[in-house]
Amino acid sequence: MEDVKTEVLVFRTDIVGKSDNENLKQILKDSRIKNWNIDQQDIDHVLRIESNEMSPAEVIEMVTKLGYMCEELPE
Amino acid sequence: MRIRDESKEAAIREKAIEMIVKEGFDGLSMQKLAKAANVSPATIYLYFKNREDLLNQLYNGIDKVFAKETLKDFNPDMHLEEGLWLQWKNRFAYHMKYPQHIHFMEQFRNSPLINHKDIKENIFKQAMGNFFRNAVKRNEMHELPVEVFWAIAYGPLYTLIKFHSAKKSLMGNKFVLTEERMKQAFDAAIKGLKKK
Repeated sequence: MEDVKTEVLVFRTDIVGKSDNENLKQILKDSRIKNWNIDQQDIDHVLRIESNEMSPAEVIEMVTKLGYMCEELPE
Repeated sequence: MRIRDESKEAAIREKAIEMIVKEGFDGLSMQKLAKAANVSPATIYLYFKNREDLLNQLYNGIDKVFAKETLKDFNPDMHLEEGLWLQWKNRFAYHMKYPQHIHFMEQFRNSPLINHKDIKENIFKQAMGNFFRNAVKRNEMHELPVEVFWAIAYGPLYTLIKFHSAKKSLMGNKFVLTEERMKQAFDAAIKGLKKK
């Protein structure tokens, strides 16, 4: 049986290094975010967020405020 | 709302295995995989956290099927001859049914990926260990180092499977592995293992 799944939001970013990751850690300490990770091995540096309460626009706003590129990957 | 779809996930997994077998681990990118599986990269991230997670899940998934297929009707308490023969038949059947998976498993095990913390030990290893120890305990066979046991017990099978897959033997003769030929090799192997 499939349990209730959390919504997954996926973004293309230019977050590359460890220090970028640290900056991100600070802002993604958001109670609405269950889990997040960046695929560092991927050319799109994909930011993946598990959250039922955040909209893609909110995530984009948070991340771009830090000066990073962030756009939603179309499905 | 993104909807999870098991058939989509299965298609992504199969395509990924195919790509890795063909081009190696370096040949796999999420973008290429998305194109090959006819989904968007975003869809892949619905099921897998990242490339690393995808690789680990592929291996664990394949390993689960391997254990299920090879342990079919098998019980570690079986007598040596009966249990070993069943292993030969199950393993041959598995090789025929999932040739891609075999390649993938070999590639994976020969890479550092195998040391990842998310790679689980499977029930297959445990069952085989118990089977071996039971046979020794019951005094059915000579007590051999486990590697020597493996070489005698399964080496002949894998050599024959190799010929079968290549459709020819080392001498270049055409070769098809039939149950009769398998049994000939098995009888010789079991003779070498069993105590009189």
